[in-house]
Amino acid sequence: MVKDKRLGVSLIRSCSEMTGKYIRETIDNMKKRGLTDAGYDYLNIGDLWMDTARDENGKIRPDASIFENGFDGTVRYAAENGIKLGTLTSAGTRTIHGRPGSFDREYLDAETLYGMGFRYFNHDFIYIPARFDKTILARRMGHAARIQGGDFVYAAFCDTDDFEIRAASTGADIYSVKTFSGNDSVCEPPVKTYGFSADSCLYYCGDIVVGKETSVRDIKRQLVISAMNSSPCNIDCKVEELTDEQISVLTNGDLIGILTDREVRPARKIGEGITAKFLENDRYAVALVNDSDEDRELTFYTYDFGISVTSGLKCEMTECYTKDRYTVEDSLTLTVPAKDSFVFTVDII
Amino acid sequence: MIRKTPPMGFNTFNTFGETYNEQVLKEIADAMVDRGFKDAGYEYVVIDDAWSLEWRDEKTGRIIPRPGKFPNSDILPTLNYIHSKGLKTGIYADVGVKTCGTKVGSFDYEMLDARTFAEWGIDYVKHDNCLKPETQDDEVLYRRMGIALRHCGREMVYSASNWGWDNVWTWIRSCGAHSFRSTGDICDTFDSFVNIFKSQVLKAGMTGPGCFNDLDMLTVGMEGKGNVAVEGDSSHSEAGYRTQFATWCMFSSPLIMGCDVRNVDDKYRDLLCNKELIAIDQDPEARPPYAIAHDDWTTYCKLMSDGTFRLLFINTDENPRKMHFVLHDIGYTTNCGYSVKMTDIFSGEEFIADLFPGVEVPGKDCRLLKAEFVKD
Repeated sequence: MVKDKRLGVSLIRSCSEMTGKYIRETIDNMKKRGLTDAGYDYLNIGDLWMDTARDENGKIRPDASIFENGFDGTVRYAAENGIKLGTLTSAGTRTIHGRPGSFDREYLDAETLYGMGFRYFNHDFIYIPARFDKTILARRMGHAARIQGGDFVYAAFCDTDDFEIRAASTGADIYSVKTFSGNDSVCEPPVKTYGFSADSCLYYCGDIVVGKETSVRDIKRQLVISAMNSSPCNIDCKVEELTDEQISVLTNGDLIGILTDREVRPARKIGEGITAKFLENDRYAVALVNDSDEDRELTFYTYDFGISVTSGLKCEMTECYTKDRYTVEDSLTLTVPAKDSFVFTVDII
Repeated sequence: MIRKTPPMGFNTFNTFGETYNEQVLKEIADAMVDRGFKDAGYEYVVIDDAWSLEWRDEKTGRIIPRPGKFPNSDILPTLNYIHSKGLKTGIYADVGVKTCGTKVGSFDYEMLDARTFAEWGIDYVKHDNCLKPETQDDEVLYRRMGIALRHCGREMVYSASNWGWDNVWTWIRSCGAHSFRSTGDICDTFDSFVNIFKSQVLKAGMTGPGCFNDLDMLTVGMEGKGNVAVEGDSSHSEAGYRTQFATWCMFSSPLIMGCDVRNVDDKYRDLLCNKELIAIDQDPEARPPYAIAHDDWTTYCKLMSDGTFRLLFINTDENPRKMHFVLHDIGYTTNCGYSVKMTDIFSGEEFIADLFPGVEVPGKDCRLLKAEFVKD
């Protein structure tokens, strides 16, 4: 169980030409643009770093042609800068980009990747033989990763029925109920009402893919979803192309605090467009999310939140981005713009 | 308050029902310390239903401790005594207008009652689910008490006891609870605990650090005596209690003893204090067990935080039988480069597993093995 497996950058979708130089530049940009200060300390470099063939001992190996200073040099650079490297693997016979899959080689690959210096992997359940039970594959890799070291984060992207019930038992530290490659990986709230999550196995809502044209509003909405569901947050982007406005949204301290909260209690829908989450230190988060194409009035009721009239309690609500404050006795109605959201930290007074 | 591991303690209900008093509670506290339960990790002494009167104080609205149990309606001497033994105190409340024993309920008084408990130094609240207005939503009521307990001025474990109604496992974590009951009450019979854990196998994935699925108070050691005994039933046995305790530990359930700890047989005291079993329960990752189903029996497997496994074989038949599993079902592969060392938790016997390890399990009993992958 790794305590800080929550925030990172991913190059999987945004980078089609992986080189050791680009990885180092990305690490530099993560620091320069303030992402590492905000807590983003994982960098997932996908699968394009791998050679298309295993070596003579059957081990995964780096593509030497793209690492001018050697792969070890890249790993050292990441470690020196406090960045934990992640990769994309496959539970099946090949990865999405045709690199070796880990089917029937789970223990070898876990040992190899950990020995190379990776500390995180998205294990994609694709290209699996049709008659093979995916749950067994999840258990295999869960155990294989675990016995390498307690700091090897295993994220299982498995689309079997009810994987949210099975995920924790397989040893996954993070789980998704969709394959990584088989969907757009837009960050979405859990399909089922609970999207079960706990400190030892976090539910993953999806990547936040950020391009030059991605609106601040859209980024905020997806970050709010991640935060309210305690989902790890991976920004798939070219860090050097992020605008200052985009960075500002991604590094909001209050929202990151909600996301990385140690109680890991799930958000709960308490009204139309309204979710609430208990945080540590007796604080709370409330989000008003408008998914429609028109502006909408959304109302937060303290009764639904759990405050009875007889309690004498009130909510003091502070919006994470605008810093607008409200003292609420029974309800708060706000007009939320189309496709936008307000998210509040809440203190009870 | 973040509760990383399942709470451990004692509750009055299974043995005493409503028939306890201050003296009994002090003796319980003494026994918890003198008989080694506290050293094993049991820390809460939870006073269940019937500690209060049927009405509140007219002026203050506060709950009044029952004078027949606590002289002068003063519960503080009892609670202070429990604290003086290095233990923690627990108390019973109810979401409704009355408790299950028709004493005062906390409906619309959650904040006042939470503050009262805080003033008294309570460390744990069991919140039952009787006699609530039919139009009230369980989730809202449990969230109310969750908020009340967080703002009353004292940290307390919040044990929600709504017996699994309204798919509680889908929302209780969001209400601030540290544990939740998801079945009706346990009885001191073999079938009772078997039915409870079997009903939770597919919901085991809903438990985890911070909020644990509570399989109910243990009946281990009760031997047909006490409030939840079933007249005429003789199905309880040492093997059965061993199976119950091992199952509760595999499920990372709170371990709340229900037997009379003052005089429970030493063999059950030893079972309840078994360090290896408690370590399974208290594993920091609290990963749920999964079932490996065979034709007519089931093996339960739990992955521990250190990478080892615990395998529980439960035989609910009268007759002994050989039970086995295939190593590959727990993630072993032919080419993994490891051998699997097995250790019987109860006997200490060790062996290297073949691909189809089996154990002889006596009737209505269990075997519990540790499996560890060892590099070839």
